[in-house]
This record gives sequence, structure tokens and C-alpha cells, in this order.
Amino acid sequence: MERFKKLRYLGIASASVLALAACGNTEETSTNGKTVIEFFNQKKEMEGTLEEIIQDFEKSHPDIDVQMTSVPDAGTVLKTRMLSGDVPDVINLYPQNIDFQEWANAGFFYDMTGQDYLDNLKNQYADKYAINGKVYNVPLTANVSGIYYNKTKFEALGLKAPETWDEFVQLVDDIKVAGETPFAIAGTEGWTLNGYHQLSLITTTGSADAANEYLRYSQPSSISADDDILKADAAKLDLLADEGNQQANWKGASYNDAIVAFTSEDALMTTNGSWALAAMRQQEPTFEISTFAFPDEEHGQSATVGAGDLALSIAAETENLEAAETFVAYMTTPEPMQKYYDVDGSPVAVIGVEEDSDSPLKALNELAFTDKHYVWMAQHWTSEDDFFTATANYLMTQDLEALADELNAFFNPMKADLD
Amino acid sequence: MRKIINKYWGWAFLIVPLLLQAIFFYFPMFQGAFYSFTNWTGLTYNFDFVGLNNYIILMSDSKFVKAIGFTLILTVSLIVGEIVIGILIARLLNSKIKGRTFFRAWYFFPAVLSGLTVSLIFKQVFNYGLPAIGQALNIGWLQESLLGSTSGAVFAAIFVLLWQGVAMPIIIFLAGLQSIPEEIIEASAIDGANSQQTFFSIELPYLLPSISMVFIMALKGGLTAFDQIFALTGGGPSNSTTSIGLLVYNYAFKSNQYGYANAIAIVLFLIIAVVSIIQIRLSRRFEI
Amino acid sequence: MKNEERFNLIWKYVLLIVGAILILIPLLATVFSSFKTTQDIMQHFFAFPNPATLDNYARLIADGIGHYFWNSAVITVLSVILVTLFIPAAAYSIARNMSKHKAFAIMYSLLILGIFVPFQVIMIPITVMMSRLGLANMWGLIILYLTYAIPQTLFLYVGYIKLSVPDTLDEAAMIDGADRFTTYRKIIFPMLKPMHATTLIINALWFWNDFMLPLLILNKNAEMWTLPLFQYNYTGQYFNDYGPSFASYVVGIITITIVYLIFQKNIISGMSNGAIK
Repeated sequence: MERFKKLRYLGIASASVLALAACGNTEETSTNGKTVIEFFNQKKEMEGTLEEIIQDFEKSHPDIDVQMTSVPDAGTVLKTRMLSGDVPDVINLYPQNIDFQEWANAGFFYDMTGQDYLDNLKNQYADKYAINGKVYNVPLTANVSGIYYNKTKFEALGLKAPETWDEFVQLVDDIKVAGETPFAIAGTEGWTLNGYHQLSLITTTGSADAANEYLRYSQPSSISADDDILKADAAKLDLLADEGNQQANWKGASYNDAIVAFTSEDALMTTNGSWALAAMRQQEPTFEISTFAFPDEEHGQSATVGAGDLALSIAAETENLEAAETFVAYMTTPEPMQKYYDVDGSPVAVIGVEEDSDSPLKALNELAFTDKHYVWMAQHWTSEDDFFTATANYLMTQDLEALADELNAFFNPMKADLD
Repeated sequence: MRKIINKYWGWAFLIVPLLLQAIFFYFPMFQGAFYSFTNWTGLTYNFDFVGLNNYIILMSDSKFVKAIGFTLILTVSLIVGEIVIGILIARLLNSKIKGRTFFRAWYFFPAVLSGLTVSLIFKQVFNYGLPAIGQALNIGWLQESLLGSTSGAVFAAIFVLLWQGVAMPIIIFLAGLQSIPEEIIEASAIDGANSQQTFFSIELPYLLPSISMVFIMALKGGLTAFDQIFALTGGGPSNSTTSIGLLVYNYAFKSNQYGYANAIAIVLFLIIAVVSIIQIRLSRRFEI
Repeated sequence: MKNEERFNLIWKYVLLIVGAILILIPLLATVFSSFKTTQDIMQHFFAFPNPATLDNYARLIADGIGHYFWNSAVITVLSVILVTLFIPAAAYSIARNMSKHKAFAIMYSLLILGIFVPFQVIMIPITVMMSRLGLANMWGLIILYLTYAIPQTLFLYVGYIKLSVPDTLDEAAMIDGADRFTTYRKIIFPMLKPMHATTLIINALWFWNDFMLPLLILNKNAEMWTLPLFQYNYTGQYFNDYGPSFASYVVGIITITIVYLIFQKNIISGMSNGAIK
């Protein structure tokens, strides 16, 4: 008898499942007659500020309701959602990534080419990420990568930020002579070294495209330890890898550990991107943080690397195109982006935002959106992870042969479509 | 209705699990098998058939070989560790000592925590706690974080999994020991059997079912290890602690090579199927 | 003799205490960290909180931990109930029939084949499937938990029934006029109590602590999140908010500890009474 009761309950339960499911799907359209759009955000750290911006937007546009989705592991979640056809109306994603490119090619995004809000961006920045000449994404801010340094300590020791490569090498020696540790490095998280390594390749070969010519568009297995380019690259990596240039326990250090090592003055410099600033500030360091760009052989050729950070796309099949576009257009105005910048600090592509002249990121922001601001080389790769690993491995072993081998293993699968 | 259930009760009782497994396990697996013959990225629905290409590439993929190697080492360590340490501690907890109840509850505790939490905590322990001790006591090899070297990381992964892994086996073995009838124990004591004899001739036979149960649990834990490794080492350094599950995850989600990841998954599944079938046949032969 | 006995006894204590400390240290670190600021945690992981603060716990309440706690509880309880409802019955059928009818032996193999398969293998297809079926919600999650609990749970029950529940009982009951269903319900099911306890703990722990499935299935609407998702939410890619993280771990630990303490006697006594005879 009990079994039947339970069977009945199960029947009711299944019915309610279907009912619930049905209810869930119609949630998207009007509640109280408002148009509801979903904004999928990947920048969890900026959740609070974005909520404020949304409040402002809703005040001036009372007929639109913006629901922000901010989940952990957003990249993974987004992939599964796109696949099951559950595309959010407005999406924050990284336009240099292969997933963005594939989705754009498959027609998942609304074509924004020619829209006037694109003109609100400096140097027509959106064009940098166009796919087949069409724009599918509005990059509102960009990240930049360089070297953070302890300005207060530098001044105390009579040191200054290097403007050429030789000055950089000298600087590291001077720091060691003064009894301090040059770099805080996260040995277990190769992605933190990505900026430095790419900049090393970029400055050695002359540009991101030239670097990719050497690595990505060359013949399979053609990268060798005898190449001048690779040797020069390794020499620059050696600056991080040489004995005594890093904080204690760097081989087991995580991204957080490296940040803490820097902010507690265990090391005077750390290589990272603009995203790290918020985490550093959270540690309330007692010194002034500053940055310098990766130097080249000659003066005035320092470079940085980065790409769209807070960058928005609109779903091609959205039911609320007008509302979505209104929101995106609003985001290209100075008012909301000023709020964003004041908390985040990375360079803003929107014209009219006042950037802090005392910002720690000043040296890098100056290069932003110029042609010294190269796009991450991964724009032409199918993945990045093994590149991070190869970089970290080189730092630990300084084995040039191994580096060449790992780079070949990494790039070979991508070269299947060549020749 | 009742009559039908009773007449075909064998199948009636099975129908729900069978349906569920078919829909939510086998169907996705077949989909995965299908995709293993393509170059699907997992991002859009554009893909091409590549036949057995993925499987061929797999054979010479050093990361795959490494992952199998690590998973094997991990699994064997877990099996041996859980059984040996489990029995050891269970015997201790079975003997006449004070605070037995407290210790029993305490030793089960690690099983109660989430693998993720535990790994994050141990990450800090290995990165800071141990080196600090190493410096204080001036022990050379302890001063560098274990997680920075390949062998150290493997050791750390095994340690963390065992830390949680022995808890359940301890309880199971304890139960097994307590099921030994008093008279037999007393009889052997009267006969003057020493500790070793007691263990091998009396306790061990009663523990055999428990051992087989723990064996399966440890095997499962080793082959499906993911959460702890994900949080503790992320698979590094240089893929030395990448389990098969993590390898599949990395290929599918990080490298956007879903078709290839599925080829790995199918190969894994086949190996497991073969091993399971062998194991079932063997255990049937040894059935009491 | 007496000295040797005492020597052994001391050794036993030493070993047990060393083991207990190994268990204690990470737990202590967690509890301490829950009373520290994130900054303090990052800088001095093992030190005493300085300053000690209740802010993390306040933050948990402000962020609505009660709600996620409730979600986790509902999902865990419902899943466990469904498991107990369907799986022992299936195990009974298999245990009784597999030696007589080959079909059942095959069904058994098919059902437990998944026991060693890592979830990552079916992760993407199942996520897409659940989304398409409209089951990307709590009900869908429960169904999946029930499904994925089958291999191991079924295996344990079948083993137990074959070992400790002889079919002479079935015959006796049926002679007395009971049909299969009643036999199962009134005689077999109660006898499975030790295994109920074992599988209950194994599965409940898994459902309570799991974050992977909820992440993939429940992410659409934060209202549906479980406790582990809520905890995981404090870790970002570039910034981990350790303070509230650890406080949430402590909350999770306390809850499951209380449940464990309540059932503790049942589990151990249940196991020794019949589980492994």
C-alpha cells in the first residue's frame, strides 16, 4: 500500500516538475509590464559596482529591468548555456578568446557593425575584435599587463623604473645588492606569467603578429632551442628565473601568495595584469604601488599586452533587442564607466571618462588603445593552458630544449590546417 | 495493478533504476561516444567527422599516458592505504583504551567535510605550514613547498585523499572487528595466542567482507578523483597530478577539444568495463 | 607481562593522539580563519585571529546563507528518501533473481558499470540535456543524484542481501500468504537497516557537499543554489574572499557534525549487528 502512495506522490512530483519548468521559462518576459533582460557577468569582483550601475540605468529607464547573473566558474557555465541554446540577452565575455570567435562565426551574436555607440570608443577599439569585418562586441575597458613595483621602496633605495631592457637587468642586480628580493612569482599559476612571456616574445620579434608568425603560423615542430628568437626570449625569462631573484617558496606559491608577498614587501616587484590591483589594495599595503611597462631594447618602445575586459555582446536571438541595445549603449557613456573605473582602475575605452593621473596603472594606461597595446596572442590560438604550463616549467628548470619541445607540442595541433 | 507488480515483481522493482540509468547515464555516454569520432569543440554545433583520428592521437599523447600513470599510482596508494591504515586504526579503536567513543567519533570526522574545503586548507598547510616547520627545525627538504615539485605534489595529493579516505574504512573495519563473537576471542586468549596469531587467524577472516567493500570504495575514489586534485594542485606541476577525470575536464573545458576529451572518456570507460567484469566474475567465484 | 602490556598501551595512545592531531590542525585552521579578515588569513594563515571579528558570519547572514542552507537540506533529504525508496527494492530483485535468470545478472552489470566512471565524462551532454528538458533546476538535480547514486548503492545492498538475508525468509513469508510486495515491505526492508544507515551516510555526505552538479544545473537562478555553490561563490578567479568562505565552511561542518552525532550510534551499531557478518 505504501508503495502505491509513494508512486502517486512521484506522479504528482513529476507533474510539478513539468509545471515548474514551464513556469521558469516564461520568466524572461514582462513582470509588471517591464521588459526583463538578463546580463551575464563574468567579472565577479566588480559585481557590487555593476549592481550600482544597473540601479542607475533602471532609474533613467523605468521600463527596463536588468537581471544580472554572476556565478562562479562563469566561463564553464556560459559554454554549457550557449550550447543548450540558453543564451543570455547581454553577455560579458572576452573578445579575443576562441570561444567568442566561434560563437560569433556560428551566428550567436547580434551584428553591431555601424552602430553609433561604437563611436564612443577610443581609436575605434571595437574594430580590433571584428570577425570577418563585422563587430559583435563592445569592449568597454581593456586589461593591461606589466610589472608592478614598490615605488616607496624604490625611492628610498634611489632606484627608478627602467625604460630599456638593459636598465631592467641592471635594476634587478641593484635590488639584490641592496639586500632585497626582486620578484614575487606565483610558481603554481603559470597564467600570471603569461603577460610577461608574451611581452618578451613581442619585444623580441617586434609585434604580436610577428611573434605568432614564429610560433603559431610556422611549420609543425619548427620551434627549436637553436633559434635566436627563442634564445632571446629565454634570456628575458631568465630575469625572472635566475637564482635569488624570487621570494622564498615561490615554486609553491599561488596567485594570492604572490600578491601577499608583494604587498608585505617580501619582494619589490611582481609581474601581473591590471586585474590584480583590486586584490593588492585589499591587502592595504603601506607603500605606494606603481607600475612600469615591459621595456624594449630602445627607449620609448615599452609595450603592454591585453584585451577587452568588460566587453559586451548581445544575443542574436534575443527577444528584447531594443532593451538590450539601450543598455549596451548606456554602458558606452562616461557616467556609468566613470563609476566602474573608480573601483577597477583598468583603462577605459569609453571617451570622456576621467582617468586618475595618480593611478598606479598610469604607465600602462598611457599605452592603452595605442599600437603599443598588443592583443593577447591567444587570439589566434585554440587554447592557452599549456602555454602557461610551459612558461612556468621554464622558470623552474631553465631548460631551453624542454621549452622548445613543449611549445611545439602546444602549437602542433593548431597547425593541422596549415599547408 | 497490484497483481501485475507481484507477478512481474522482478522487473517492476527494477524499472525505475533501469530507466534512470538509461536516460541519464547511458544516453549521454552514447552521445559522448558519438562525439569522440568528431573534432567537436564543445562551443557550437559545427563539427566534422574525423573517424578514429582522436583515438590515434591519443595513443601518442604524453599527457594521457601521464594521467593514466598518476591515476594508477593514486588508486593503488588509496587501496593499500585505506585498507592497511584503516585496519590498523580500527584495531586500536577496538582495544580497551580510555576515550574510545571520543576517538571513534573524531576519526570519522574527516569524511564529513567537503573535498574542496579540505584541499584548500591543505594547500595552505603545504605552502606555508610545513616550510615554516622546516625552517624552525632546520630540515632542508621540508623548507620548499611540497606542491612545487612533481613528486612532492603527488605525495601531497595522496596524503589529502587518504586523510579523508580512511575515515569510512575505519568505521567499516571497526564494525567488522566487533562482529567477532566473544567466545572465539576468549578461546584464543586461553589457548595463549599472541597478537599476531590472533590477527591473522581470527580477525582477518572476519574482515574479508569489509576489505572487499573498502577495496571497491578505494578503487572508485582513485579512478574518479577530481574535486580534491582540482583544488589542491590543479593538476600540476606540469601535469604530474592530473587524474584522468581532470584531464577530460581540461581538454573539454579549457582547451575546447570536446571530441578529443570524449575519446579519452570512452577509452577509460572501456578499461573500467573490462576490469569490472573481471572483478565480478572473480568475486563470484570467491563467494561464501 | 605487565610492562609489555603497559608499553603497548602507551604506544596505542601515542599513535591515536598523533592521528587525532593530524585531523585537528586543518580543522582548527578553518575555525580560526572564520574569525579573521581576508587580509589576515592571506598573511598569517596559522596564527590566532588578529583582530578577531564576527564580520564574516554577519556577512553570511546578510548574503542569505539560511536560504541556501534550506535548499541543500531539501535536496539532500528528498534525494535520500528517493534512494531508499527505489534502490533497495531493485537490489532485492537482483539478489533473488540473478542466479536463476541471466537477464538479471546482465541488468546488474549494466546498473553498476558506472561506479568507476568520473562524472567529467558525461558532464557536457547531461548539462545540455537537462537544460533542454527544462530540468535545469532542483528537481532535475534530485533526479540526477538518484541516478548517480545507483551504482554504488545498488552494489552495497546486493552484497548485503546475498550475505545476510537468506531467501528462506521469503519462503516462510509467502507460505503464510504474503505476496512479494508485502514480503519486501514488511520483512526484507526492515532487515536492511544496517545498510540503510551506511548508504544514508555515504550518499547524504555526497549530496550535501557536492558542488559540481549544482554548479552546472542550478546556475540559472541564484535562488536555487545549494550551500556548496554559495561557498564557492566567494572564490573568484582573481580574488578570493577567504573570510566569509571559511565561515561558511564552519557552518557546513557544524551542521553535518550534528547530524552525524545524532546518527552515530545507529551507524556503528547497525553496522556491527549485521552488516559484515
